[in-house]
Amino acid sequence: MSSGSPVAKTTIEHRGRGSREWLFPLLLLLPAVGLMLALYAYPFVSSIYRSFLVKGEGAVTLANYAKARQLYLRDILFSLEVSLLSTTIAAVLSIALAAYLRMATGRIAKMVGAVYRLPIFIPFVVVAQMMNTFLAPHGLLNVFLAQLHLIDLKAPLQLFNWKGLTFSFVWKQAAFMTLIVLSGFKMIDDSYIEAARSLGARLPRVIVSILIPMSLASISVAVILAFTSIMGTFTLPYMIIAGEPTTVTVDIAHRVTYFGDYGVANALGTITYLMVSFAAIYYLRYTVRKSIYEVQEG
Amino acid sequence: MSQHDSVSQLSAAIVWQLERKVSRWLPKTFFHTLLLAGGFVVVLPFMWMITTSLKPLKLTYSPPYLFPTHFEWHNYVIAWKAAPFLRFYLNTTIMAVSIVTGQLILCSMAAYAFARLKFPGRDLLFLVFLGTMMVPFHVTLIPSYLIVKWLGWIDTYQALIMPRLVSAFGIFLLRQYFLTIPTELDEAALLDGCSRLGVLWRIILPLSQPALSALAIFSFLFAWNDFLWPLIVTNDPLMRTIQLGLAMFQGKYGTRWTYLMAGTVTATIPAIIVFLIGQKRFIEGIALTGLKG
Repeated sequence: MSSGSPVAKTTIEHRGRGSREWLFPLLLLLPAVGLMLALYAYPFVSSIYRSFLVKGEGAVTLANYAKARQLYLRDILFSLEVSLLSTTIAAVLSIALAAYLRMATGRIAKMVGAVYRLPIFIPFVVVAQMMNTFLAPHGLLNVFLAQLHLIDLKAPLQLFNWKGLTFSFVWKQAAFMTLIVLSGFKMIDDSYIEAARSLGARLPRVIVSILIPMSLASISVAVILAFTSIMGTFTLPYMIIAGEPTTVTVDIAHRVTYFGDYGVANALGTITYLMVSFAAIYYLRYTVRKSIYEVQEG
Repeated sequence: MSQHDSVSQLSAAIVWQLERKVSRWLPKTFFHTLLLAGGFVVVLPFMWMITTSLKPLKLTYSPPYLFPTHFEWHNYVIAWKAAPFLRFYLNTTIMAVSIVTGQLILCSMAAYAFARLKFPGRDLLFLVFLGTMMVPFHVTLIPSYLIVKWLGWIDTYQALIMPRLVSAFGIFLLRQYFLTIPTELDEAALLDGCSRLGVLWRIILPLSQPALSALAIFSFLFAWNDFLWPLIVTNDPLMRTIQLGLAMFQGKYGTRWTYLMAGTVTATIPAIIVFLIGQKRFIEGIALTGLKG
C-alpha cells in the first residue's frame, strides 16, 4: 500500500531485545490499565459477584435475580422498550438531518447546522429540569398546542410517562448522534453522490444507497453510544416519570436509598449490562470483522 | 394550425411547466417546513429556559410564553448569590481541567501503544478496553463508591478526578487517529535517532491535534455536566460542583424556577464557549477517527 494511504501499514514492530522489548509498551499502558483495572474492571467484576450474594448469607445464590425479576420485570422491559424506541427515533432523525446538512447549502442549512447542536451542551440534569416543566399538563408544550387548537387545555396531554421520557431522550441524544453520523457522511467523496444524482437518483435514494451503506460504522457507533447512554441515565426518568413503570436506574437508586439492598441493586445493574452487552457484542464483532489490525497492517 | 390550437398548446405547456415547478418545490417546501418544525422543537426548551430565567418571580407560574417580555437581569445576581457559586465554579474547573489533562496524557500513551507497538495480548487487551466502553455507569457505581470510600477520598478532589482520568472512548478515538498517520514518519524519526517517546511527543501528537481537540472537548463536556458521581462522592457543600449547586439551589428555594434557570443558563455558557472555540477541530477530529465510515 502506498505510504500516503491512511490505511498504510501503521504498526511498527517494537524493536528491542529481551526484557526491554516489553518495557516500553508496558510503561505506556501501565497508568491507563492500572486505573481501568482498579476503578473500572474491579468494580464491574465486584458488582457482578455481589449480585449473587444475599445480605447476611455467605452462599452464592440466584436469590437477588429472582427478587429482581419478581419486583422489577415490568421496569426492566420498560427500560428496554423506551431505550430501543428512543434510540430508533433518534437514529432516524439524526440520519435524515445529517443527510440534509451533508447535501444542502444555503442559509437554512447553516441555521439548522448551528441550532441542532444545542442539546449537546445541556446536561441530563438540566434537560430533566427543563422537561419537567416543559412537558407539564399546563407547561409550555401543552399551552403551545392549545393555542394552535390542536388540544384542549382542559384535557392536556399527559406526558410524564414513556411518551415524555422518549421525547426527552430523543431531544437530548439526536444532536450527539447527528454529530457523529454527519462526520461519517462528510468523509464520503462528493463524486459518489454526484454520480448517483447524475444517474437520476433522488435524495432518499442517495441516502439509502450511498450515504448509509458507506457510513455504517459511524451510524453503529452513534446508535450504540446513544443506547448505552439512555440505558444508564438516571436523572431524566427520575424527574419525569410519575409512578410506574419506571426505569431500572431509578429502581437501583430506590433499592439502595430505601432498603440498603445492594444485592438486588447489583443484580439489576448486571441485568442492564447484559441488555447493553448485546449492542457491545455486535460492535466488537463488527470491529473484529473489519480486522482492526490486519487491515492496517496491509 | 388554428389560433385555438396554438392557445391550447400554449396553455398546456404552461400547465406542464407549473406542474413541474410544483412537483419540484412541493417536496422541498415540505422538507424545509419539517426541518424548521424540528429546529423549533430543539430550540423550544432552550428558549423557555432563557425566558424563564428573565421572568419576574411573580410571573413564574403564569401561562408560559416563548419570547421574553420582561428582562429581570437581577435574577442572575440573585441566583449567583443564592449559593457559593464561585466555589462551585472553582471546583468544577479544577475537576474538568484535571480530567481533560489526564485523559490527553494517559489516553495518548495507551493509544500509541495500541496503534504503533506490537506486544503479546495487545488485541485482546484492546478489545477489553472497548468492552468497558459499553458498561453503563450505574453498573459500577456502588463498588466504585465503596473503593473511593475505602481510600478515604470522600469529599476530596481525588474522588472527583481519579475515576475519570482514563476513558476507553478516549483511547479508542486517539488510536484510530494515530493509525491514519503514515508510519514512514515514525521510521524516519527513529532512523534520525529519536526515541519512541520522542516520536510520540514530536511526531504523533503534533499531527493529531484534531483528535486531541475532540477528546478534550468530549471529556470537558462530560466532566462539566457530570451530576451523579459528584453527588455520590461529596457531602461537604464546599466540595460540590455546579450541577450539584443547581440541585442544592432547587431545594433551598423550593424550586424557584426563575433563579434556577438563571443558574442553569450561567452553567451552560462555559460548555458552549469551549465547544465554539474548538468546534472546527472537534468535527475534523471526529470525522478522521474510527467514527468515520
